Amino acid sequence: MSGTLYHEALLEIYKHPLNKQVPSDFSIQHKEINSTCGDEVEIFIKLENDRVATIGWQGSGCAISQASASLTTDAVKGKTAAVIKTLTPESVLHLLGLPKLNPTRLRCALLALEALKKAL
Amino acid sequence: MQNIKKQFPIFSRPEAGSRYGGTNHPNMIYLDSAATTQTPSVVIDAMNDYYTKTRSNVHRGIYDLSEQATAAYEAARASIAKFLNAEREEIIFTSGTTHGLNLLAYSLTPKLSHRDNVVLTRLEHHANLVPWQQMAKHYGFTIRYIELTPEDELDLASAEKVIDANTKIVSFALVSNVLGTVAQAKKISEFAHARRALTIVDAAQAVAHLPIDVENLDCDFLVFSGHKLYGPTGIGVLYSKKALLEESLEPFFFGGDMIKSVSYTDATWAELPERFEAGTQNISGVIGLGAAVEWLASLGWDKIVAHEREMMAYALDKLKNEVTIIGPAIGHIHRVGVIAFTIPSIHPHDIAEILNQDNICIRVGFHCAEPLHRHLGAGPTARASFGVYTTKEDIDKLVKGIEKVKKIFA
Repeated sequence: MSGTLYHEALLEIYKHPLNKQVPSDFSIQHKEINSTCGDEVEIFIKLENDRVATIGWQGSGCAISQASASLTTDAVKGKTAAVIKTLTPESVLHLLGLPKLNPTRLRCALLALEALKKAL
Repeated sequence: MQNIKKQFPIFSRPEAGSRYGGTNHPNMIYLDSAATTQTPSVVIDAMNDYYTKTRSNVHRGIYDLSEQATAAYEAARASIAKFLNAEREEIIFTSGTTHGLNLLAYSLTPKLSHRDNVVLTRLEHHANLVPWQQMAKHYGFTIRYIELTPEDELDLASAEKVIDANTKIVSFALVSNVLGTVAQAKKISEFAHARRALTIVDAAQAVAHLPIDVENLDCDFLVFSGHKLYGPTGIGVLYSKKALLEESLEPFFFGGDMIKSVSYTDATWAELPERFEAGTQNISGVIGLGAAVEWLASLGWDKIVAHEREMMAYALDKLKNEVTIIGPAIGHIHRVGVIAFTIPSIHPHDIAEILNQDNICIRVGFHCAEPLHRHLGAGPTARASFGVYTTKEDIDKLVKGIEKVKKIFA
């Protein structure tokens, strides 16, 4: 399993994150911390007509949690809060190109999704 | 310490068809002994003997079996007392260090007021911090911290300054679970006693690595967990000076086995130490812990300390060019048991995950010492920790694993 955990695309997105900035204009802000390992992801959102118009994030943590923040925030652009709330853990793993994770690492992968859902 | 791994079944060759799943791990590089140590056969056998030969409740039955169980239980207490240079009445069994520290925080603070203070240090484990914080909310006393020197040892000048006439309790780790530094416990006890404060030594990270002599430390209380010195989980010890058990400390739990006589309106307490051990205790845990301290002592402290010093020096030397070491990495400072480290721009979690691919077990995170990490300006760290079974080969494999981590993230 872990042979494919740090695949190239994931490491690439970790080294060159997407949406990793605080937008100049946002109305929703939420921070989630993974207390077992100290991962942090803070999400900033501006909604327009209930859709994600602007999204950014800040954070620090392991490659999985940080790559996930990049890909998850990218995937929800233009989506409504209702749709975002239906996003599943499986869909995040799919975004990350990861088959299955043990419970500890799953929390890393889902930290951004959790922050998003709690923000909205 | 040659071939000592042979005494630990977890490192043996897998047996076919375990009923409970899991397997043994002959090739495992176990570098997380500060979290919990592995268990030698003698400890498992001692517990097994209880379950298969003398299982019964202690201090209660008139029949032979119960007498035998009680004898084994009390023999373990005697072994532990000897191990600490204490008397048998001074050994109270708990579930572990956390239990011991909570018991002391709950028992010793109700008489404190806003004028009083409790002195801790910057490097405490959450178990020696949060109970005091919570009690401070109830009783209004303040908490003070002994500072660290630039070399991350406890600063005695700071200790002397923060311990004052209003200090009632001084509680500190003998060995830091992050920095590996050793407190000058005797000196700190001296300062505390000069101010009539009680001292509590958290020996959780020390007890498997250094000989402990409570008389020499001159501490009032000392706590540790069995599972950190090759004993079972769920058992620990609270040592207390006898006079304090008799005069200053009230029983914390009430119930069976801790009473002398009970009426519908009141009760009187049993003798020491039973008065502090309400209810049926972790009997197999006590017996296992007794076997663990006997076994550890039989290895010889000189040999244990020499072996672990050698492993520490070897590891520091090998790692110093590979990683950023947290805390002292220089020869003259005695560092015990642990090396916490970081690698720039690689998260510790990722380090541990990749090491895990090669069967190398380390811990990552704040190691239950988040304030210390913040104080040092560090985020989460990776931590390799050693035991009597740690070998140079283990450390070489760790170094190789770290090289691999860096390659993946290059």
